[in-house]
Amino acid sequence: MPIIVNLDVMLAKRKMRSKELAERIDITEQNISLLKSGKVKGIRFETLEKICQVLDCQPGDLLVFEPEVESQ
Amino acid sequence: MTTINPRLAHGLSFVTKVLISICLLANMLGWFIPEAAEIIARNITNLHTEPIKLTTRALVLGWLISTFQLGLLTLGFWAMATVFERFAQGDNLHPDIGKYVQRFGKTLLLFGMLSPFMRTLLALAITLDNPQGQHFLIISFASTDIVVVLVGILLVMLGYALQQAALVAEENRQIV
Repeated sequence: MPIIVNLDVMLAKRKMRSKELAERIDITEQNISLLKSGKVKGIRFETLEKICQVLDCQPGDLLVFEPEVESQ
Repeated sequence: MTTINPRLAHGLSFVTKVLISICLLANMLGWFIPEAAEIIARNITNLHTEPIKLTTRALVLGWLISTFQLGLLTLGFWAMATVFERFAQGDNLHPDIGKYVQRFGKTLLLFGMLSPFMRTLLALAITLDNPQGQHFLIISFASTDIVVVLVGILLVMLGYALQQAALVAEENRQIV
Protein backbone atom coordinates (compact mmCIF):
# COMPACT_ATOMS: atom_id res chain seq x y z
CA MET A 1 0.00 0.00 0.00
CA PRO A 2 1.44 3.43 -0.88
CA ILE A 3 0.54 4.87 2.55
CA ILE A 4 3.38 4.11 4.94
CA VAL A 5 2.79 4.27 8.69
CA ASN A 6 5.81 5.64 10.49
CA LEU A 7 4.49 5.06 13.96
CA ASP A 8 7.44 2.87 14.95
CA VAL A 9 9.85 5.64 13.89
CA MET A 10 7.97 8.22 15.97
CA LEU A 11 7.83 5.87 18.94
CA ALA A 12 11.60 5.38 18.71
CA LYS A 13 12.16 9.15 18.47
CA ARG A 14 10.05 9.73 21.58
CA LYS A 15 11.59 6.69 23.28
CA MET A 16 8.15 5.34 24.03
CA ARG A 17 7.03 1.72 23.99
CA SER A 18 3.92 0.53 22.17
CA LYS A 19 2.43 -0.61 25.46
CA GLU A 20 2.66 2.85 26.98
CA LEU A 21 1.14 4.47 23.89
CA ALA A 22 -1.67 1.94 23.90
CA GLU A 23 -2.43 2.70 27.54
CA ARG A 24 -2.30 6.48 27.04
CA ILE A 25 -4.58 6.55 24.01
CA ASP A 26 -6.80 3.77 25.33
CA ILE A 27 -6.59 1.23 22.50
CA THR A 28 -5.24 -2.30 22.60
CA GLU A 29 -1.59 -3.08 22.08
CA GLN A 30 -2.67 -5.44 19.34
CA ASN A 31 -4.21 -2.55 17.41
CA ILE A 32 -1.03 -0.51 17.84
CA SER A 33 0.91 -3.45 16.47
CA LEU A 34 -1.48 -3.73 13.48
CA LEU A 35 -1.16 0.01 12.89
CA LYS A 36 2.64 -0.17 13.00
CA SER A 37 2.70 -2.97 10.48
CA GLY A 38 0.21 -1.16 8.21
CA LYS A 39 -2.19 -4.10 8.36
CA VAL A 40 -5.23 -1.91 8.89
CA LYS A 41 -7.71 -0.52 6.40
CA GLY A 42 -7.94 2.86 8.09
CA ILE A 43 -7.35 4.99 11.12
CA ARG A 44 -9.97 7.10 12.85
CA PHE A 45 -9.34 10.82 13.18
CA GLU A 46 -9.95 10.33 16.89
CA THR A 47 -7.12 7.78 17.16
CA LEU A 48 -4.83 9.90 15.00
CA GLU A 49 -5.53 12.95 17.16
CA LYS A 50 -4.70 11.05 20.35
CA ILE A 51 -1.46 9.64 18.90
CA CYS A 52 -0.41 13.09 17.70
CA GLN A 53 -1.18 14.52 21.12
CA VAL A 54 0.79 11.87 23.01
CA LEU A 55 3.74 11.77 20.61
CA ASP A 56 3.66 15.55 20.08
CA CYS A 57 3.76 15.25 16.31
CA GLN A 58 1.76 16.01 13.17
CA PRO A 59 -0.31 13.46 11.16
CA GLY A 60 2.25 13.91 8.36
CA ASP A 61 4.98 12.61 10.67
CA LEU A 62 3.03 9.38 11.07
CA LEU A 63 1.63 8.84 7.59
CA VAL A 64 3.62 9.15 4.40
CA PHE A 65 2.50 8.62 0.83
CA GLU A 66 4.99 6.73 -1.31
CA PRO A 67 3.86 6.04 -4.89
CA GLU A 68 4.24 2.45 -5.96
CA VAL A 69 7.03 1.95 -8.48
CA GLU A 70 5.98 -0.20 -11.45
CA SER A 71 8.39 -3.06 -11.99
CA GLN A 72 9.62 -3.39 -15.57
CA MET B 1 -23.70 -2.66 22.01
CA THR B 2 -26.43 -4.71 23.71
CA THR B 3 -26.31 -8.41 23.04
CA ILE B 4 -29.08 -10.95 22.96
CA ASN B 5 -29.29 -13.12 26.07
CA PRO B 6 -27.31 -16.28 25.12
CA ARG B 7 -29.56 -18.49 27.26
CA LEU B 8 -32.66 -17.18 25.54
CA ALA B 9 -31.07 -17.66 22.12
CA HIS B 10 -29.95 -21.21 23.03
CA GLY B 11 -33.45 -21.94 24.32
CA LEU B 12 -35.09 -20.62 21.16
CA SER B 13 -32.78 -22.72 19.00
CA PHE B 14 -33.65 -25.82 21.04
CA VAL B 15 -37.40 -25.08 20.95
CA THR B 16 -37.26 -24.56 17.16
CA LYS B 17 -35.55 -27.92 16.67
CA VAL B 18 -38.03 -29.66 18.96
CA LEU B 19 -40.92 -28.07 17.05
CA ILE B 20 -39.47 -29.25 13.74
CA SER B 21 -39.21 -32.80 15.07
CA ILE B 22 -42.76 -32.72 16.49
CA CYS B 23 -44.15 -31.43 13.17
CA LEU B 24 -42.39 -34.14 11.17
CA LEU B 25 -43.49 -36.85 13.61
CA ALA B 26 -47.07 -35.56 13.75
CA ASN B 27 -47.19 -35.43 9.96
CA MET B 28 -46.06 -39.04 9.72
CA LEU B 29 -48.42 -40.28 12.43
CA GLY B 30 -51.29 -38.22 11.05
CA TRP B 31 -51.10 -39.81 7.62
CA PHE B 32 -50.82 -43.33 8.94
CA ILE B 33 -53.83 -43.13 11.24
CA PRO B 34 -56.75 -43.22 8.77
CA GLU B 35 -59.16 -41.16 10.93
CA ALA B 36 -56.54 -38.48 11.49
CA ALA B 37 -55.52 -38.62 7.84
CA GLU B 38 -59.06 -37.87 6.74
CA ILE B 39 -59.26 -34.82 9.02
CA ILE B 40 -55.88 -33.57 7.78
CA ALA B 41 -56.68 -34.20 4.12
CA ARG B 42 -60.09 -32.52 4.30
CA ASN B 43 -58.75 -29.51 6.18
CA ILE B 44 -55.83 -28.92 3.83
CA THR B 45 -57.86 -29.32 0.66
CA ASN B 46 -61.09 -27.77 1.97
CA LEU B 47 -62.99 -30.82 0.65
CA HIS B 48 -65.21 -30.96 3.73
CA THR B 49 -68.26 -32.79 2.38
CA GLU B 50 -67.04 -34.28 -0.90
CA PRO B 51 -66.41 -38.04 -1.07
CA ILE B 52 -62.77 -39.05 -0.64
CA LYS B 53 -61.29 -42.52 -0.62
CA LEU B 54 -58.19 -42.89 1.51
CA THR B 55 -56.64 -46.05 0.15
CA THR B 56 -53.06 -46.98 1.03
CA ARG B 57 -51.92 -45.42 -2.23
CA ALA B 58 -53.78 -42.17 -1.44
CA LEU B 59 -52.38 -42.10 2.08
CA VAL B 60 -48.81 -42.63 0.93
CA LEU B 61 -49.19 -39.99 -1.80
CA GLY B 62 -50.76 -37.58 0.68
CA TRP B 63 -47.99 -38.21 3.16
CA LEU B 64 -45.33 -37.65 0.47
CA ILE B 65 -46.92 -34.39 -0.68
CA SER B 66 -47.30 -32.98 2.81
CA THR B 67 -43.82 -34.21 3.77
CA PHE B 68 -42.35 -32.38 0.79
CA GLN B 69 -44.04 -29.18 1.87
CA LEU B 70 -43.11 -29.71 5.50
CA GLY B 71 -39.56 -30.51 4.40
CA LEU B 72 -39.31 -27.03 2.93
CA LEU B 73 -40.43 -25.53 6.21
CA THR B 74 -38.01 -27.79 8.07
CA LEU B 75 -35.11 -26.38 6.04
CA GLY B 76 -36.31 -22.88 6.83
CA PHE B 77 -36.78 -23.49 10.52
CA TRP B 78 -33.42 -25.24 10.74
CA ALA B 79 -31.87 -22.08 9.29
CA MET B 80 -33.75 -20.07 11.90
CA ALA B 81 -32.39 -22.34 14.67
CA THR B 82 -28.88 -21.70 13.31
CA VAL B 83 -29.53 -17.94 13.50
CA PHE B 84 -30.46 -18.34 17.17
CA GLU B 85 -27.26 -20.33 17.75
CA ARG B 86 -25.16 -17.55 16.22
CA PHE B 87 -26.90 -15.05 18.49
CA ALA B 88 -26.15 -17.33 21.44
CA GLN B 89 -22.45 -17.12 20.53
CA GLY B 90 -22.75 -13.36 21.02
CA ASP B 91 -21.79 -12.40 17.47
CA ASN B 92 -24.82 -10.40 16.39
CA LEU B 93 -23.24 -9.39 13.11
CA HIS B 94 -21.83 -12.77 12.08
CA PRO B 95 -21.78 -12.97 8.24
CA ASP B 96 -23.74 -16.25 8.44
CA ILE B 97 -26.76 -14.62 10.10
CA GLY B 98 -27.78 -12.75 6.95
CA LYS B 99 -27.25 -15.90 4.90
CA TYR B 100 -29.49 -18.00 7.16
CA VAL B 101 -32.18 -15.32 7.43
CA GLN B 102 -32.21 -15.23 3.62
CA ARG B 103 -32.47 -19.01 3.51
CA PHE B 104 -35.42 -18.94 5.90
CA GLY B 105 -37.04 -16.26 3.74
CA LYS B 106 -36.49 -18.26 0.56
CA THR B 107 -38.08 -21.37 2.06
CA LEU B 108 -41.09 -19.34 3.23
CA LEU B 109 -41.35 -17.79 -0.22
CA LEU B 110 -41.24 -21.19 -1.88
CA PHE B 111 -43.65 -22.65 0.68
CA GLY B 112 -46.19 -19.89 0.07
CA MET B 113 -45.84 -20.10 -3.70
CA LEU B 114 -46.16 -23.88 -3.77
CA SER B 115 -49.06 -24.13 -1.31
CA PRO B 116 -51.85 -23.75 -3.92
CA PHE B 117 -50.21 -26.43 -6.13
CA MET B 118 -49.74 -28.70 -3.15
CA ARG B 119 -53.44 -28.43 -2.31
CA THR B 120 -54.26 -29.27 -5.93
CA LEU B 121 -51.96 -32.29 -5.87
CA LEU B 122 -53.27 -33.41 -2.50
CA ALA B 123 -56.88 -33.18 -3.68
CA LEU B 124 -55.97 -35.26 -6.72
CA ALA B 125 -54.18 -37.81 -4.56
CA ILE B 126 -57.01 -38.31 -2.04
CA THR B 127 -59.66 -38.58 -4.75
CA LEU B 128 -57.51 -40.71 -7.05
CA ASP B 129 -59.30 -43.91 -6.11
CA ASN B 130 -62.79 -42.37 -6.21
CA PRO B 131 -65.14 -43.74 -8.87
CA GLN B 132 -64.77 -42.19 -12.32
CA GLY B 133 -66.18 -38.68 -12.49
CA GLN B 134 -65.54 -38.02 -8.81
CA HIS B 135 -61.91 -36.95 -9.00
CA PHE B 136 -61.38 -33.43 -7.76
CA LEU B 137 -59.13 -30.82 -9.25
CA ILE B 138 -59.12 -27.86 -6.91
CA ILE B 139 -57.48 -24.51 -7.46
CA SER B 140 -57.40 -22.37 -4.35
CA PHE B 141 -55.53 -19.33 -3.13
CA ALA B 142 -55.57 -18.50 0.55
CA SER B 143 -54.76 -15.12 2.03
CA THR B 144 -52.20 -16.84 4.27
CA ASP B 145 -50.28 -17.95 1.14
CA ILE B 146 -49.91 -14.31 0.12
CA VAL B 147 -48.88 -13.29 3.64
CA VAL B 148 -46.29 -16.09 3.76
CA VAL B 149 -44.90 -15.05 0.36
CA LEU B 150 -44.68 -11.40 1.45
CA VAL B 151 -42.98 -12.32 4.74
CA GLY B 152 -40.59 -14.54 2.76
CA ILE B 153 -39.69 -11.65 0.41
CA LEU B 154 -39.20 -9.34 3.40
CA LEU B 155 -36.89 -11.86 5.10
CA VAL B 156 -34.84 -12.34 1.92
CA MET B 157 -34.37 -8.56 1.76
CA LEU B 158 -33.59 -8.31 5.48
CA GLY B 159 -31.08 -11.15 5.10
CA TYR B 160 -29.39 -9.24 2.30
CA ALA B 161 -29.28 -6.08 4.46
CA LEU B 162 -27.79 -8.10 7.34
CA GLN B 163 -25.11 -9.52 5.03
CA GLN B 164 -24.18 -5.99 3.97
CA ALA B 165 -24.18 -4.88 7.62
CA ALA B 166 -21.85 -7.78 8.48
CA LEU B 167 -19.48 -6.66 5.70
CA VAL B 168 -19.48 -3.09 7.04
CA ALA B 169 -18.90 -4.38 10.58
CA GLU B 170 -15.99 -6.50 9.34
CA GLU B 171 -14.51 -3.47 7.58
CA ASN B 172 -14.94 -1.36 10.70
CA ARG B 173 -13.04 -3.96 12.69
CA GLN B 174 -10.06 -3.24 10.46
CA ILE B 175 -10.14 0.46 11.28
CA VAL B 176 -8.35 1.44 14.49
